[in-house]
Amino acid sequence: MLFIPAMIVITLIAFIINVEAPGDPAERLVNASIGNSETYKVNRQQIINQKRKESGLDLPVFYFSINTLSSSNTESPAWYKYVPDIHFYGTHNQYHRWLSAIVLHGDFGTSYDTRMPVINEIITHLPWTLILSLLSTLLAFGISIPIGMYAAQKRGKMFDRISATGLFILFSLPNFFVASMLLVFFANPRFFGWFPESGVQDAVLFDQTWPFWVKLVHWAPYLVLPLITYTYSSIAFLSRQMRAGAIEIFDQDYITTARAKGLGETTILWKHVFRNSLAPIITTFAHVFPIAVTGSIIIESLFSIPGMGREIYQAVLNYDYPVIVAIFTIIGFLTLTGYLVSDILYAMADPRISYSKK
Amino acid sequence: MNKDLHKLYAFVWMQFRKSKPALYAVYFLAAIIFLGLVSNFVANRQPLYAKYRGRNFFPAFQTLFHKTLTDSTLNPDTHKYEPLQFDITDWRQLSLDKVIWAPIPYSASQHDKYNADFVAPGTLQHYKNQDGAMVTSPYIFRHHLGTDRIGEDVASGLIHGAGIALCVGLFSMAIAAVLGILSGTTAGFFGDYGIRVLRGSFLLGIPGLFFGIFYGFIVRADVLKHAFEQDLITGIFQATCSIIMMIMITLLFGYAGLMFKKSGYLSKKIFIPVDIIISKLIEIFDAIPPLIFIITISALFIDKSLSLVIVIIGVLSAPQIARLTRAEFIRIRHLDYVQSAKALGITDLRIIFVHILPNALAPVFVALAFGAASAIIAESSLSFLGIGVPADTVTWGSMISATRDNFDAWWMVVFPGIAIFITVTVFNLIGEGLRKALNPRSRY
Repeated sequence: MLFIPAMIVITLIAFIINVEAPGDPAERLVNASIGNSETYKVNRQQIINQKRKESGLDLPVFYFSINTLSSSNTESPAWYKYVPDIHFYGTHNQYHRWLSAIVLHGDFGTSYDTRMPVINEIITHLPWTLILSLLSTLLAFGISIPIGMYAAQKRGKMFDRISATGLFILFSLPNFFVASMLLVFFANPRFFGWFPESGVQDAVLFDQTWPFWVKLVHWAPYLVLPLITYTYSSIAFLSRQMRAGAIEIFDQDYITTARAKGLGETTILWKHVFRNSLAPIITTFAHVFPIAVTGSIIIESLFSIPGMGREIYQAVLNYDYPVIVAIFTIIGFLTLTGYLVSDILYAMADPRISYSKK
Repeated sequence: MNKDLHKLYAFVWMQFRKSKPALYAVYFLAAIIFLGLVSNFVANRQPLYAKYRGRNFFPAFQTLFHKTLTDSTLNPDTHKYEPLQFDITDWRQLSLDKVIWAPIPYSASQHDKYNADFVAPGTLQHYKNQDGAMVTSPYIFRHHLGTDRIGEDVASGLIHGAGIALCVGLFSMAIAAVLGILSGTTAGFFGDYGIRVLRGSFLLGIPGLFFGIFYGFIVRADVLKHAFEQDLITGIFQATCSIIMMIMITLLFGYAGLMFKKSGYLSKKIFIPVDIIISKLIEIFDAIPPLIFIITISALFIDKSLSLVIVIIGVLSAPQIARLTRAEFIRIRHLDYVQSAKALGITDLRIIFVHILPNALAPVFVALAFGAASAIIAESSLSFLGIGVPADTVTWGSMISATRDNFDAWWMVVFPGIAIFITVTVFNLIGEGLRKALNPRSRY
């Protein structure tokens, strides 16, 4: 079980980013809440200090610190520089405070930009990313399984060769290029203005009181292009995996037996080959899901979909560190969950695999 | 290189040549590398050769190492010497006696103000001739692939972007290869039971590691910080020094532990499970989604630089290389010839580098080829987002991002996109060809 250590590493990286971020967090927080107005100019430093105390920024950074002796007292002999000075602070430190706020209250701090709790922002943005990633993952599986299976069945034939070339090309296309192409050619009245170019809903037309299916019909055209970009690279990857797995099964003796007893090719394909080649494809779920989540940064910022990817992009541009750190942690968590789920599914699909110690 | 190994690589090359796409991909790669090397002479605003006022100049070559090279010419009318600074002179406005222009007479980040604001390829383009009159652009000065908002030539950007893309692909993979092979070798060769030390050495090694980190990184913190602020290469050099210092101090403490040789409990030998440690680290770092990690890290640095992106991509690709190297070492370690080499008393280092490593590199090469492709995609994605590389560097990714302002500028997507696609495909094809060549029985 690597879930917990990997999660600790991810939080540590996130925390290091939080601490090492340029600029004084307390000052930016104060700037975010009161601005640079004249009235607060006099006791500005006082407010900053108070904020620092409030948000625990005056606490030691980690559980312990290792420093040189010379760092604590400025006037010291030269050899003080080479003597280690270790302090233990117990749980009263920034990392502990930061982590327990996340674990216990889901509190990621306050955004510098919008002055709102980061977690609220994420909760409003997360659904779009999750919906799009899950939809695209399902779509990718739905399309690539038949392609991979038929390619394996017709190994070396026309269909196999064409699909292999096509998938190879798809595999080499960067998603921002595909997205830009789609936007330029299919969301542009100059060529084919079939789809809306950005956003997820019409600002004027959209009505919150619509019944769900009306909303769905309204959203659908907005989601076509993003979904294509989300999905195509996964399709390329999955189909190749599926084909490789299926070919291995086709070479097994029991397939020859099945043929010998006169089963039709279709039955062999779906009843014998498909079921047996399913186990390895499940693990690829772990790869497809992070691809979808990561892809969200480019796709969401390009199509202006209000999801997490666009949020982290905006945050990076504005140096809004609490948001960056929060989204990094959450995406790390989602990815690790994807790995965990696929491990469990794999164990369920193949009873020979066990993760307990023998 | 010994003879059998030579045969192995000859065999691999023979197998590799059988797959035509892979072979053509190698030629293509050579062509792209060549283009990257000579990009300065293919696309340059300064002429390759010019004869001006009776003197011969080779501006494109002369400014290669000295950007602000200055010369002076005698004005025949006033009989005065006039300075001629090569890079700021507009050579098109001079009445040159003879001139050979570069095939694409524009530099990558040169703003052609007469053809700014997205001029499409094949449309009317303007040119200011020597009399100062605006005319239709003559054929050689045309932007055949169009321009962007500020009048940068797309074709020139493509040529100069090739060098950057290749740098990213090759250097990041070089970093990944060094880190990955070193750690994978350690894990794979020694395994969990390969390194036996005295318990006394081990116990002393723990404070040794502490002092190593202390003297290597904490005492030198200022030096390191300063070096990284100066530039990345110095930073990496100083960091490497720190790491070496840390290892030396740890080893020193370990050797000091040898004095416990005859003291009962401390003299027992124990194993250091390097394999478990390294393979767990690999798995943990594999679980971090790379693009998000790069974007997050790059948010830390206000000053953007290409080399930083290269280093991060390289470091993040290392775990995969390490995993493959480790697997190969574990497989080869148990082969008879390695056992007999051990029996002959050949040192571990020699066995690793002479006898195992050359045989273990095959899957690493495959992974490096695919890795270069994804490194190029990662870098161009970052440039596309405007994160990670400086704004004035023209890369393929940053060219495509111009369409975010103007959907009509299809040429800003299509041409750089095709360039990225070709380069990535070339690396992917080479990877695929290598995989087939190294595993000729596979029919996939």
